[in-house]
Amino acid sequence: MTLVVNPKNKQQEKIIKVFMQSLDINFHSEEEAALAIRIDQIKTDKRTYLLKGFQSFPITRPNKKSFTIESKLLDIYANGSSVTEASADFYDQFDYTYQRLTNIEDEKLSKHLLEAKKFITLLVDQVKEK
Amino acid sequence: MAVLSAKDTNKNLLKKGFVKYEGDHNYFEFYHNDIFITKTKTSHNNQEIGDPLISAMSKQCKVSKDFFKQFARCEKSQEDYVKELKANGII
Repeated sequence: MTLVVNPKNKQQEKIIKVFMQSLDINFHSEEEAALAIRIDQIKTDKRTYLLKGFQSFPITRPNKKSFTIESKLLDIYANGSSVTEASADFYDQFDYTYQRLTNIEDEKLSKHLLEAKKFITLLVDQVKEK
Repeated sequence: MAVLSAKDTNKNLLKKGFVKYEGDHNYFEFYHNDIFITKTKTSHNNQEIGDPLISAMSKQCKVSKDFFKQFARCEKSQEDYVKELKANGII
């Protein structure tokens, strides 16, 4: 792809040069450009979680080398150098969170972990062990 | 870019009252008065903890990034952490 710019005078040329230098252009695959993952199941080595319909979790880019998928309600902040890697971390943390919180009595959980437990049990329709 | 040693961070979290989850040693849990307060996932011992993971771990530990870095470097005590959790309305 080529973009041709014809400045009309020296002043415009200077402005365009400064503008071009300030641009931060990167190329991302379609997957990497996604703003959120939208999933209806979570597969891990041990089990599959079937969710109650599609759920979206936002993807952010803390820097050029990292992707973060997070759910504040679930207290999950997953990282990776690609969306695929961050998704794998998210699935791993989802599995840990579900297994851990559903095996602890409500009164033994802090307020935010109890909220996370309520939310994750609402999201999950079925758990299939492998 | 801030970087912490995973080996030192993991060792220091254990010193400050965190316990490893038996099912998966990448997960650390903090209990206070027998209540499960916070959980966090860390890197393997041979890796470095970069800024995005520091940010994630501090959110899960319910403290600021600056506090977490000091805590992970052993510049803050377990008592300081409990105080911070109380100040942040977590305990």
